[in-house]
Amino acid sequence: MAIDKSNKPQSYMSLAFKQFKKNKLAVISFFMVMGIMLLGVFAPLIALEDPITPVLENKLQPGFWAGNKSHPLGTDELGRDIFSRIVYGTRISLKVGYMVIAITAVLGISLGLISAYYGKLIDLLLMRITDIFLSFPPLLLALAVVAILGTGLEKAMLAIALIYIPQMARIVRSVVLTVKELPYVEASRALGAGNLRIIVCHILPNILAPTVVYLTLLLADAILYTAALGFLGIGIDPSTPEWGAMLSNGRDYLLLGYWWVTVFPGLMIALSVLSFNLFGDGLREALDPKMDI
Amino acid sequence: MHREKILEVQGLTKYFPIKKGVLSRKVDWLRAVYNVNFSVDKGETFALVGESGCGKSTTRKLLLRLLEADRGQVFFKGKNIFKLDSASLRELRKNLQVVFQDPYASLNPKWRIGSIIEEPLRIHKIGSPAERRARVEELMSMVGLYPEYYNRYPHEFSGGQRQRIGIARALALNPEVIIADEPVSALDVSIQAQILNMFKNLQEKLGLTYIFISHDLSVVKHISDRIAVMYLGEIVELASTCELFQNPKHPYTRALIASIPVPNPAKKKAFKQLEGEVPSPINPPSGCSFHPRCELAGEECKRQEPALLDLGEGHLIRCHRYKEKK
Repeated sequence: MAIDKSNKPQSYMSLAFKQFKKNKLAVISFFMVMGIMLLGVFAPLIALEDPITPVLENKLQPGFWAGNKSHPLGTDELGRDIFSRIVYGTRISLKVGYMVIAITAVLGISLGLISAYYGKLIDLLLMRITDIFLSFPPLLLALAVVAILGTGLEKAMLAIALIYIPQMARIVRSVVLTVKELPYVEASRALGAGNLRIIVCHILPNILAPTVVYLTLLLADAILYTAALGFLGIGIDPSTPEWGAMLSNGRDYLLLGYWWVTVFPGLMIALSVLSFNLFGDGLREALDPKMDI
Repeated sequence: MHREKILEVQGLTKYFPIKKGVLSRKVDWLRAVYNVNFSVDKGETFALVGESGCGKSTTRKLLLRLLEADRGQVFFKGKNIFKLDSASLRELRKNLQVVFQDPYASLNPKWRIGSIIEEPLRIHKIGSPAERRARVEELMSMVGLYPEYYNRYPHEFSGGQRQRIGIARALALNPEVIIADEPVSALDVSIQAQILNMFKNLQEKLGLTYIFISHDLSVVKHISDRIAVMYLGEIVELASTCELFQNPKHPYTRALIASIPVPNPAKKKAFKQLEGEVPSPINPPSGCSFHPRCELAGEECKRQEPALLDLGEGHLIRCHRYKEKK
């Protein structure tokens, strides 16, 4: 090796960033993801109409294709501006998505880590419990939880998180099982490190890549499940501008020719799910080209 | 010359359970290490040699107390390490360090190498950050790495350089004993020589004691003072390097030595290769574990386990029929 004394380390992250930049689709999806997030954050500045109060005299107006300037995407059956509702809906979808991610990350990672690291009886017990949860069809599980807890945005989040916690725990467990046998973990133990130190300093950083990737892909799924719960009319208050609920409400008017009530929320769901998925895929390729989920 | 025993191993034995089924029934036992006895003097290099699966690495884990032994004792400077509480175990860890075989997997890929070498100092809370940094840079130059590389990541280094990082980490706490588990087997031959020479130089400079684990007799020949040959978890022969190479007694040792390639095309292979495979450690053969492959094997070998015989001058052997020649 040539003697290169320049003190410029190539960190793992900078390498991953380089890899990510090479993937055009991932970069595009990154900007779309950023756009969707900005839409949610600046919703009150972008959507000037009230998304909740009905204005019945404006109901079912067509949008820009009919020269409508004040309601570019038209209005729904209660006369509410669809554009504003979609923009505000971004907030709800992202809120649910991120809360689900947070709950899943905290509980899933802890359960998986404890299960794999301590093994034996704890592992057996925790994994059988996750088996029970995994044996239900996901949407059915969410429905059952909502039925037990009652409706509301927070309860919907919990219900969706409950679908993913066992899966997350499984993924984390399998990665930890490999990482904990690696010589650098043994080296650290031979140096006298305790369990906490080994978990925090050695195991956590090395399970981060698959975990982050899974969580990113999960965001898309969570948005989809929120929409599904909204569509079925459970979990979320009907007046809330939620994409799935909007889709469901517009269904009755689709055949009557008022297609815009359904199409735009549907497009938004598809677009956001697609961008988060592509972003997650790009992230996976960048973080570890060998990894498959 | 008076020699001080720094490490003494008595009757070390480890079986692994083999589990099957949902309820993890223990269906069998795998004999990993069986009745291993040896002692290591201060300042010497003691080698454990054997083919893969013979229990070398399990012995290492037992010595470091990363695994609990089933039977036997290990004394470090007279103290039984299996009876230490956690505080004294931490103290012991300072004095007993390990260098691993795989220089790729033994360094955490997410850490800068400065932090990797510094880790032992942080674990044992030694020195201020500035002092630790100075110590790490000293260690890096000691093993032939530029201290400028402090902030780099392991993936930026070659195998030999990574092995140097691993050695620097092992040296950080000034240990008395270093257990090197196949430290050069993953490296190119040219790099092997460099690393072996470095091991030797460090030993002279720091008065280290090595337990050198390897499958390669030719590597061990250059560095060790005494060699123990392991087969199926047992030590079958133990002697000084010189004695072992000139006067090998155990048929297994003889076969191993004969199989070392000689860089001389005129010299034909005059030895008979060992026949058969290593028997499964799950059901080791009765009597002497080597008897199914041994050309000298007789009736007693099948029935009776040979005891460890002392042939004088520290030459130990576990064989009934070493006197016979074929």
